[in-house]
Amino acid sequence: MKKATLIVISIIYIASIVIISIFGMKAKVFEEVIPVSKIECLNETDENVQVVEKDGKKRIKIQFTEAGKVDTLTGTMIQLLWRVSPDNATNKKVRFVYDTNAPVEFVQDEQGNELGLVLFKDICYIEVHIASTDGTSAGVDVILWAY
Amino acid sequence: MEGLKQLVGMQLKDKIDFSFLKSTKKTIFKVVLSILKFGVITALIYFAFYFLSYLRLVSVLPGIPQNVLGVAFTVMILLSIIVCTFGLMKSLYFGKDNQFLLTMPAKRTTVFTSKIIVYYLYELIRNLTYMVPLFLAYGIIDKMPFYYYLFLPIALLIITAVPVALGALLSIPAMIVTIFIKQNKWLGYILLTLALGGAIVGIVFVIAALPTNIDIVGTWGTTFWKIQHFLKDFANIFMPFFVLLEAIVGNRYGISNRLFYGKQWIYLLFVVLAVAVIMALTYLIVRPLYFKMTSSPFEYKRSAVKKENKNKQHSSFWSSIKKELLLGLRTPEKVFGLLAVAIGMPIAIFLLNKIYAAMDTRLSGTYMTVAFNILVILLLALSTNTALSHIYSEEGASIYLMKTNPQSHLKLLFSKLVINIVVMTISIMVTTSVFLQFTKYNFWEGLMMCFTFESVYLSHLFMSAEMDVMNPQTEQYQTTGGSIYNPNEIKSTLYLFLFAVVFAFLAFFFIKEGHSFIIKVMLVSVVFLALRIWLYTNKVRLYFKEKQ
Repeated sequence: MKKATLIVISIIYIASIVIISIFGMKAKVFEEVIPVSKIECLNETDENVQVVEKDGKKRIKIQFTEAGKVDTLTGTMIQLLWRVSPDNATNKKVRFVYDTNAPVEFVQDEQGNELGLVLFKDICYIEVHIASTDGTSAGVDVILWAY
Repeated sequence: MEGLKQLVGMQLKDKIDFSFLKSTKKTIFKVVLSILKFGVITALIYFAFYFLSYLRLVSVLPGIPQNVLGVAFTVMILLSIIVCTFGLMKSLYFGKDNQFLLTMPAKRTTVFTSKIIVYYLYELIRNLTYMVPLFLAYGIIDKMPFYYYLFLPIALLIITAVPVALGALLSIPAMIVTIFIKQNKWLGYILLTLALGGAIVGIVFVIAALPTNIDIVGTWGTTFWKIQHFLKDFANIFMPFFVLLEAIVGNRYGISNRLFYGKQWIYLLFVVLAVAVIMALTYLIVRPLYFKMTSSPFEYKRSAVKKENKNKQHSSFWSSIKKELLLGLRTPEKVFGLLAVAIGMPIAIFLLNKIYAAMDTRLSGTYMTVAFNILVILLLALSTNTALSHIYSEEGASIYLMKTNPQSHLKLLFSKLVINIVVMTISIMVTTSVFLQFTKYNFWEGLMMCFTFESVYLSHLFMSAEMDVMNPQTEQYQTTGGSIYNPNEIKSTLYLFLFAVVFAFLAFFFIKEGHSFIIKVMLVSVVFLALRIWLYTNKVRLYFKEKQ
């Protein structure tokens, strides 16, 4: 089979799926809003941090070496990992509630979204609440400790 | 050093077409095309990464985690090692240019070194086309610092050395196995069958495992953890490749990238040392073996046939088929194309219907799925016939032998089509039964559908062969051994698309009348087949003798 023939047949093959998904699917009536029911912290012990669970609350420990720098994303830092349930929740964004006087900095992206990367400026012990942003009260408390 | 440069240049010219360098226009065109190709590949990988990142399937954070890059990198480097092993084995021990190169005014070690350098350069070009776009896309999506991109050219040189060094060393066991298989052909056939069977079973197993309801958002949690477990297990199994990767791209923690830290430098040093040790081993073990093999060309030695087969008398028709079968086995590239379609067609239809089954279609959507199935089956089946549009011309000057054969021309010409007909008929039957698994048609309706596919396939087959009878291209094949422009092939390709589209449309328009549509489409196809057979037989009887 010539290369060109093979390419055309492949295009038709893929196009058939696209055409059916556009013109052959059953219509959806409305978009349902699904609220967040639960948020859980996914951090586990690895080569960077030590994670201990006490009274249903995760405590993430890291040894303080040098102050975290936001421009290079280096220094002492903890990356928070979380899961929003249900998986098809309409708004899966979260916000972090913490003591703003603590010597920590939460890294944000260009749009101002907090990404869960916490930079430590000094040794500290801080409680962070990961909360939903869709108006529900779902959230989880995590303790971060740079010693 | 000068000799080495010339030897490398000579061999590279043999591997890569540099003819474009003679013309400035062609050089510019080639450069622009290469840049475009590079850009398109990078963009494709970037969008694949972006899609994964957007769905948060591989990480809860934006960007691509290192493990995902690790999987792609491992697969690519493993393929490179396999290609280099067999390529270097062929080049070092079975290369026909060895005896010629050793007569050149250069040291034997220089010839050996040139062979390794040629492979290194060839691999470098390949990596530049596929590996660099992967690292570039990863760098862009994960917002790597600018010095990451500056380090990439150096990284490319190191990465390329790994498969070449390993390939050179592994070429010895590969050569031993190849010689053993060559001496015991049955083992080769068993291994080939096992590999092919394993690959088919593997693909079918993967397709069958596809969920009937593809809902990435709805099943995100389960899918995410399955992917995480897979990535973790993969990284554990292929740990050395992940070490190599960390030596190149550093480490990514969350959304932060760490580059050029202590551990990475140690890994980099380790990789460079490992390559140096393997190269030294290659020099010590492979080089003497290379000299020994090139000075005793065992591969050209043929042991005398000890076992003699008694000559059995067959009918002229069966003898012709047997001859075609032997020719096919001796020139596998001819049969590979046919077998690839014959095996690939049921698998392609299985995958297509698995995807369709995952869609919540309305009635017209279901009609479309049937029509598209018919279209794809016919396109694939009929595509094998384009090779038959020069089946007789390929004989070149030997076509006269066929004309002087004191047998019916029709029988002789038809015997050349038998292998294709048998192989594709089996494939069509399997494909139809796969297709029927996803529909509500009964056995008889399925049988009629199979007849329809077979009739359209045979109609196109006779039409393609007839084109070659009526407008033979023997002169082209006689002089060049191939055909650059064959009008019959172009016509056959056009007809293949026309027939497939017409029958798919016929099915789509008749399908609203219920299951009886199959009878109507089958009747049209059978009448069409009868016409094509009549035309083929008459034209062969009337014109074949007179044609040059």
